[in-house]
Amino acid sequence: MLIGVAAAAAQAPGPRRAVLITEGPPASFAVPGRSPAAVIERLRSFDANADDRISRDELPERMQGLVARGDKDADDALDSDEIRALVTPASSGSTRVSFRSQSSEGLPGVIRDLKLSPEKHLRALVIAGAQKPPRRVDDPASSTLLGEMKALLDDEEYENFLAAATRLSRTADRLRTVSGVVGGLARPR
Amino acid sequence: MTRIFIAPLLVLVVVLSAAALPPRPAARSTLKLPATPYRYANVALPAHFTQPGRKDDNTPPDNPLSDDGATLGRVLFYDKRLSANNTTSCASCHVQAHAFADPKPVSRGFHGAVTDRRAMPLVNLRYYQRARFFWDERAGNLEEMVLLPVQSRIEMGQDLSQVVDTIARDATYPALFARAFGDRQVTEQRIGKALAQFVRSIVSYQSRYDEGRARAESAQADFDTFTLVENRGKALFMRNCGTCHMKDDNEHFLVPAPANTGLRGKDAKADGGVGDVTLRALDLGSFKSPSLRNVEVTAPYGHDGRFATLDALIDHYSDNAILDPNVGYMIPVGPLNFTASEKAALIAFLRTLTDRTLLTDPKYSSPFVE
Repeated sequence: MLIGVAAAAAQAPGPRRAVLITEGPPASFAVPGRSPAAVIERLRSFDANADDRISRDELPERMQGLVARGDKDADDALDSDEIRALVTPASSGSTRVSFRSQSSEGLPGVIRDLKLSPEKHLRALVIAGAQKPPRRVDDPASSTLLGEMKALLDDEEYENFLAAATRLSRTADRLRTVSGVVGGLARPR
Repeated sequence: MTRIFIAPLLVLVVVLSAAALPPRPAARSTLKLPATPYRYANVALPAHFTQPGRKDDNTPPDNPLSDDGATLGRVLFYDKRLSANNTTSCASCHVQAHAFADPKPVSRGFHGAVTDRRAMPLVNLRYYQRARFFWDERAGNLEEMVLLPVQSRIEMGQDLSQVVDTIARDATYPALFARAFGDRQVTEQRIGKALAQFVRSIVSYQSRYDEGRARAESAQADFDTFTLVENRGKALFMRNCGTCHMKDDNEHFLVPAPANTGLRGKDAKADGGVGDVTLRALDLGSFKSPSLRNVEVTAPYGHDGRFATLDALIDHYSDNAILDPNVGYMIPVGPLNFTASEKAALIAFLRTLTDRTLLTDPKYSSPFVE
């Protein structure tokens, strides 16, 4: 759900960069893997004498157990076929666990993290809550929100607000991009 | 030209000479242990460590923590006779004042050679649920992990049978084994178990974070013992770092699986981390992360110590987008673009994780008096 808009570079000279602030659903998604070729390239990087074999001594001590794992012809080294045989089957698994993004809580979360005085905190929440959720980044509501927040906060607080709001929008952007939860939002120009 | 040729030759001669030297006699030191063992087992831990349903503890059923077992482990941990030339103990690289991390970027072994990684902090390892250890998780349990550096040709260079022989003939060790295991027999397995018990006993739970947490309803609530900046740093941490470092509300600040934080780059020669062990493409560049407890004193950071300060470490996440498709995280990361004020708050919060009691507690210190 789109709940607000901020400008990331409001204090910088030049055109203001607008960013989306959205509240995306917690998501979990897989990242694309790499080819086993990267592992083979990694192992071949140890072939110091360029003889197309990796001997035990060419490997760091912590990796020398690989020779015992893959050395089929008992020459105490790994040749190209042995390397491929070691790597290919191993590349199908994964040690990953799934991380879920934390609920963003949207702008109220950003405001709470600033640890403002109780009075400022309430006023900031009112400002954020009073804005009609804009549908596009160039919605005039963005500049209204930022103008009111700038008037309320001191320079350091405002800078931190912008930084946190920008992170919030980036996370939401990525979640939308990867999980397909797009909703027709325009990208920042 | 001559100098260029001679220098490596001299180094080689020195190294060969050192290798050929007989072991130094063990330094004269006296073992001093309290009449009643320190308490390692059944320590009263805070409620946020012991919530019902938590299954973090990797203590195996066949090696429960006991005061006598950990005491034996402590003695072994500080005994330089576990190295081939009696110069190096586990504590040579795992320094208590640094949360049992090595303050050097990469650790040095018993004859001065450098390893390619730094010794990790040993704090709260007991609560790493995967129970895999070292930066590349090549050790499948703590009992196995503690014996590998002893046998490493670079780190301690010792043969385990030699360790057993030395210890079995020692005047004091067999009695310590009897108290720990019921009889005086010294075995490799028992050495591993005792060392693992000691390491598992190293639990940090008395930081300012823990003091504040004990008085708060939740980790997310403001702590009334924190300054405004520390609470702001805590909120920032939980919002931006907690997904990984506090997954499932673990307050050991452990990342529950190896993660690729973009340190490796694209150089095939660069350390492959977990991928060097599993040979899985997805694991290349992933490393186990140490607990952030006591992170203030565990610099330099990273498996190769590349980040000298907390500032530099935070800058890595602040300034870099981790775009490598092989990142271990399942969510996108960075660049987080922290402001200077936010960085200061984050560091203020991270410093609340320092546990001065642990860093100076005599029960974790050397039992040998020179």
